[in-house]
Amino acid sequence: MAEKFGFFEATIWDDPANAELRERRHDMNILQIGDLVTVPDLRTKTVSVGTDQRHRFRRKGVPALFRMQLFHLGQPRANEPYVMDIAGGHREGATDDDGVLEESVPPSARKARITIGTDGDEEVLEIHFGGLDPIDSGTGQRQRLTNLGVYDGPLEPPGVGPHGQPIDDPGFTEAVRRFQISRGLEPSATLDEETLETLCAAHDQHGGPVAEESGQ
Amino acid sequence: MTWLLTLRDPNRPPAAGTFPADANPPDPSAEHGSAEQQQQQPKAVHAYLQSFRDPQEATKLNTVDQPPVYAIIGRGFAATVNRSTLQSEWGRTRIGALQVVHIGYPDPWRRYVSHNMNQDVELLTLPGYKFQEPLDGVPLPPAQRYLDSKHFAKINADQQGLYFSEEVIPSGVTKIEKRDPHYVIHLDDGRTIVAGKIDICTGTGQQTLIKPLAQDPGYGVDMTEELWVEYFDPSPDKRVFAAEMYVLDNIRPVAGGYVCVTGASPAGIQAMEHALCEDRGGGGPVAAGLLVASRTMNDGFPAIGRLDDHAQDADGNPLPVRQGLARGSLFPTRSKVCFAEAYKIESIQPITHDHIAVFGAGEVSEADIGQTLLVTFRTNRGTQRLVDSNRHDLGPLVYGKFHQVVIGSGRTRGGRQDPEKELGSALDLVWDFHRDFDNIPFPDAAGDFPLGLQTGDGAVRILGAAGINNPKFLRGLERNELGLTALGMYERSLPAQARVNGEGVTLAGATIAWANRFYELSHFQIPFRDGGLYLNVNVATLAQLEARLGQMASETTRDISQLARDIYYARHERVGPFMSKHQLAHAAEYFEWARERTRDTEIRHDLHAAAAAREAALWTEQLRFAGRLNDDPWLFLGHRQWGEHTATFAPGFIAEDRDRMDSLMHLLQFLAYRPGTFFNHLNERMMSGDITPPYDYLRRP
Repeated sequence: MAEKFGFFEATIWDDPANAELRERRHDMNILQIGDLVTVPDLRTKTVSVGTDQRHRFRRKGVPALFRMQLFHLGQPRANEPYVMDIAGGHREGATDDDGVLEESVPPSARKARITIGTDGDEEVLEIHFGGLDPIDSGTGQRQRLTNLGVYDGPLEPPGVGPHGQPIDDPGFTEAVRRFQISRGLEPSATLDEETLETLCAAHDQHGGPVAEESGQ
Repeated sequence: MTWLLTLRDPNRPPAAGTFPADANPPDPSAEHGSAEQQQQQPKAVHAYLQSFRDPQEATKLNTVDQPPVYAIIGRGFAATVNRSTLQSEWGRTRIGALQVVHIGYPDPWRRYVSHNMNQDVELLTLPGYKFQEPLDGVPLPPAQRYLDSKHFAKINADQQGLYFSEEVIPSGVTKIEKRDPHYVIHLDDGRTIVAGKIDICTGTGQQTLIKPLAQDPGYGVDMTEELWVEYFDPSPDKRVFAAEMYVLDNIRPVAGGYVCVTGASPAGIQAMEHALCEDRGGGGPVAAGLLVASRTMNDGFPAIGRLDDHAQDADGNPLPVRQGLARGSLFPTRSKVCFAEAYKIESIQPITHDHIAVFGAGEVSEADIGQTLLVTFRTNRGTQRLVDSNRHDLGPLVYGKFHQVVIGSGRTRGGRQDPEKELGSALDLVWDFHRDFDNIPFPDAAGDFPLGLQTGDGAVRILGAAGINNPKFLRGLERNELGLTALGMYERSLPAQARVNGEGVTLAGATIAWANRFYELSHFQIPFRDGGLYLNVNVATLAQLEARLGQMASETTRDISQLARDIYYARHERVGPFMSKHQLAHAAEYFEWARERTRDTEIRHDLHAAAAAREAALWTEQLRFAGRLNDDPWLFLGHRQWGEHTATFAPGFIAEDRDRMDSLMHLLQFLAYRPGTFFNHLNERMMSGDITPPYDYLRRP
């Protein structure tokens, strides 16, 4: 959005008109459809330069950064080669010692395809940039659990019944329970505050899964 | 009987060509997609981008993981029982944080031709299922006592519906590979799945396919190459096929045609039902059918009862209720059906002009070419018989012409075909580390028999029939003086309908539930039973019965341990399951009585008491059946009747109706066990009228 309107991200995010949004979302990179963002008017910057001379102007803040830590069976995919196809381009690289992949991408990019691993042990990921919803939304929670490999159901919450009662979502509930077990939390199958914080840390922060499988 | 070719010429038609020994039969699994056909689907990842100017960028990122799964291989009833009973506390701990994934093609019961299953519903009431046939509920009417296979499939589907939120991968598994600390599952399409835990619930595998006679002198058949291709071809129009395909895949019978079914087994009888359209399988009924037994047709009539009306004895009487196989010479009851015994098929070939020349146009005509098959039979050990429903002997069987030949040779267990690597066998999947497997022990003192197989780390289990039907693989099984293992002893304790040599639905369900510790006392109160304690007395172990009865000790004055034993052994005496607590109570009462009656005989341990009571129970079952034969269920059962007709078989009564006398004599011939001292003693008492048979035990809803 900042690129589209010609701003630094912070200019929009820190605008006083977006104070309520900042309070609710905390992270400018993860907004929800329906959030209202106030885009201030462009401020004109005047620079006086001499004629008949060559001047260089540098636009800041482009491109954006994409970072992802890749695990397999709970272990970082460290130093593994990857290929990233994005907007017609083709990039090759390798993850670092912690399994982190880092690439600069055009802020307008919406999709990329990453193939990681070597022959016979390859994994293909289709990345939807900007598609991750906030942690306090039903879709955001499901997206994170999906990325972490503990949920594979619909990303949209089932909503409410005709009388406003929540509709059961046993697949999601079970995924929450499994996530709690994997993190050593009490398996209540309820997304309480502690579980949400743990989920956010597990997905949005450098660190990584601790796969606790089972006890039998 | 136009299918029977009467040629006795020693110059037989030329032998049919055989499948080339060096060629591989077509792969039946080839119908499933190849790796090229099914490309790996990418995993969708919703991610966020961040600014280079974000001060938190060093710690912020997206995370993707693919943790190992808990794979349940198989999607039939065994897999469903497994998933259901994994709801136990032990099971939930076993699953832990792993995501359950179901691998396999849809439940095969869904596509089977509708047919009655051979057990009463109480024996098909599976542990952990929402559908239960309660012992104290309203019993099903007699017509529904034998569950329809479609109904069974629906019950399974309903139960599976509870877990549909879990991932289902519709694929076969080609191999499981150990890769510490996980296991890699190789799918049909070339994909792999890493699993932390695997439960293999695939059943016993496919029916063994026949081989050329030269490769398998015991059961092999010579066929032309054309027919071998047909045999392996999934086409519904094939002429030679396995019994499973006929009954379960609904290959339609040829209206007005002739069918030959080999294999004296319930499956063979059911195949004939299909040929006659008695199972509503579609098509049109055949004109005639031949059931061929390599030994005797008696093997096709175990105690289950459901198929009994397909046979009669030498006097034209129906088969009696019994504990074991039908005895004596059997004859078909359907006018279109003949029984052949001590024969095997030697060769099958399409009828050609050469056959017309050999047999003559009277028996083989132009119309047979391209339509019917010439089957050549060979004799086997035993007495050869070829009989019809009029109980006539039709002479030797040498040739026949048929539109369809159903090969019901079945699975050869522990036999020549390397049972450990049987086609479709679960053990074949894990052959690379099969030595890691050991028995799954009974989880407590309730029993000492194995519940399947598992790896040393417990991660991979083989459950249900796939795990328990191969005694060669279950380790360290000790046998008692009767040559039975503890598992065999337990199976013997089940009602006769449920004894299917380690392969039955009942035994598979029970062992899986125990393996998952579903029946631990804390789980008696499972949610599906409205707070009531649930334990199916028809499948409980002795210790479980003791534990259950112990909770009810205040309701009886009897010795709990003995009461449990009485129920346990009385259960064995029944053909069908207990259907009500009322019935159960009377059975226990009766058994106690029978046990007491044996005090004057030499009793060394429970087995002898059981044997004695068995004879008593058999006698009453026989009498009950006699009553039914005479359209009077109380004819032989009431005390008064016995009182009125004392002395040797109530001659005054019998004299009134010769048929009744015949029925009773017939029944006596069918006694499955040799009458002993106790039996004679009991007989005398019953004749004298001072014993009251347990009416309620015998009364069925």
